[in-house]
Amino acid sequence: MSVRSLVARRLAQMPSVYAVSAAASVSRTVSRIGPVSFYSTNKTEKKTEKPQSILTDDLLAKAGFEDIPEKVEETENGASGESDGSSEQGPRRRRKRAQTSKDLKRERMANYFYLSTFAGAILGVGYLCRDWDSEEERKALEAQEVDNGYTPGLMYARLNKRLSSLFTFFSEPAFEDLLPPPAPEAYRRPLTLVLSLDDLLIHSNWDTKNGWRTAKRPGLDYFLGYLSQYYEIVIFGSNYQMYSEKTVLKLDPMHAYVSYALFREACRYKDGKLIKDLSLLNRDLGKTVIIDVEPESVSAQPENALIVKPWDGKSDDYLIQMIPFLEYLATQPVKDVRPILNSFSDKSNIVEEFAQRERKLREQWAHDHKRSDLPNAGDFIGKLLGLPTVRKEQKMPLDIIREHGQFQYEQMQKYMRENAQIFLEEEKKNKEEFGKVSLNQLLTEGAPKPEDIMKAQAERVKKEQEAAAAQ
Amino acid sequence: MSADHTRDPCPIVILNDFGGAFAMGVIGGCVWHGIKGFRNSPYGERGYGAISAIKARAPVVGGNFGVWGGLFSTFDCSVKAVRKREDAWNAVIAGFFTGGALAIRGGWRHTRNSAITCACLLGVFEGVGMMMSRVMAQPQIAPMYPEESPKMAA
Repeated sequence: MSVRSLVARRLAQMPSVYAVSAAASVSRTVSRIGPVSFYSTNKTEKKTEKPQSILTDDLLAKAGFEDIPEKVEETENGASGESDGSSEQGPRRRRKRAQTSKDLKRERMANYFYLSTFAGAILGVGYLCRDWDSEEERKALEAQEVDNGYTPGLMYARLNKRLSSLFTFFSEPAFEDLLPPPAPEAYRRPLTLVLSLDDLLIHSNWDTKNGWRTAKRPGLDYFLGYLSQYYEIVIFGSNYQMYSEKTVLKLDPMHAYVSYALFREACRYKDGKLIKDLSLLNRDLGKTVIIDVEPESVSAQPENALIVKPWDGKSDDYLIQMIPFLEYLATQPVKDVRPILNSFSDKSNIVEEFAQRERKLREQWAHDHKRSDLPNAGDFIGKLLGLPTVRKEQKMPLDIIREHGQFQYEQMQKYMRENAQIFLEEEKKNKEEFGKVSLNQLLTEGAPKPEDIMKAQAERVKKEQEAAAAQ
Repeated sequence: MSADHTRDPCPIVILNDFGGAFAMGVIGGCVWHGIKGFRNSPYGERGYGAISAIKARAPVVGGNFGVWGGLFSTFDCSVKAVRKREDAWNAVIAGFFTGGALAIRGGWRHTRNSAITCACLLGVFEGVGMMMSRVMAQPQIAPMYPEESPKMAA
């Protein structure tokens, strides 16, 4: 039994006045759904006595009803047909609803809104067309050719420049200089190596079982550790700092290898492409190499770039394979790396090509320094005495460099292992000291500036030194 | 791959968003209609009034929120798939379609108005978000290089 019929039965038991009006309201609400079937015993009475609502048409309109029930209209039409008063209009299905004060008010407000929007737009456009406020503004918008004055062409040009500057605010890098100036001479590495993050050093994967997981590329620690003695390593990711900052911290928890990390905020967004503009890096472009997986992200300086295949998360040793070339590049006295990079016919295959070149070099070296196999006196005496003969071949410079590099790397690792605890504790201390920023401070003074933190740290170090000296 | 690892990748995130929005709507609806039902009940029946109002209306609010969230997420994913870019315009376009789709039974004018309103709203959200991320972005600072003090040299 449906709810509707239950209601109807209830109504049948009610006193007649209520029942009539309530039944009318019920029939009004359900009339949209379909024909109503009342399971009542005396159907004849229902038919003869149509439910009459005490709410007339005008009352409903004044109360702000959107839809006047059709039933009422029908009866009205019938009535008007009987009286023959408005037969010339023909059968009307819907009568236009009388406008209530609420409707009028709403319409008026809507008109005000449209008018003010329109006026605001006109005023805004006019304001953007104004003369240049200052020479600086003109220079900042790169509009030297657009003069002051109120001809339509100039006005449009100024409008255009100003409008586009509104949108480029978001697409330009957040900082003028992405990196601080190069380190002092004593601490400077010969070259700067810019590495992209995703799919070069790490790979993120998602599956239904584990969700997101991020993998480090095999050999990454060695790659960073080894090359950090030759390169100032800058990680330049293409995701927001919010998402990638923690990842970079995990790759280099002691801040020993990665000098700086840049993120999407430092990219330029143009035509749906993220561009990493190396000219903003504050470094000599002749001494900068960028390794990336996206050709379009280095489209500003393709001559500085090594484009490699994106890593798909499977085990490989490409990073290790790249080391010999990068090591060679940094240990040669080069003024400009770009011609060297471009001397490779296929830059995406630079590993293979460099291996070939190295092989050739080695052959040449072996040929030039071939020692005669003639027995010499030292060997002869050694043999007589029963000592093993030591035949030392002259080492190639490449190998000397590599040995030196590996030695240094091991020293560095040893140092890090011994002092890891101290480093981490210091880091923690710093975090505790400067990580506690109250919300009030944050709102009134803004976040603590990195420069201030540096200053405070320097002061503290000085104090400690003084204390040590006093002892 | 997607940048934000707090969210699942595209087709599945629709389900997440739908559920999240539904939960949000139900919780908010409980508070809203709980208070409303409490205030609109006669003394002595207030607790019962609150509960019955929650039972009657909170699921509806949750459903409305859920439909909005699910639709928005669906449009967002579709826009991403079509444009093959990830930027703020995705959300604005998705907001436009969501607002339009939800108002489509109200007629052409209503559809248009609510689509534009929704797109503007999403545009403001995205703009504020981008502004925040730019403001919060910290410039890189140089580490301290211990200077070779004359004391050390001596």
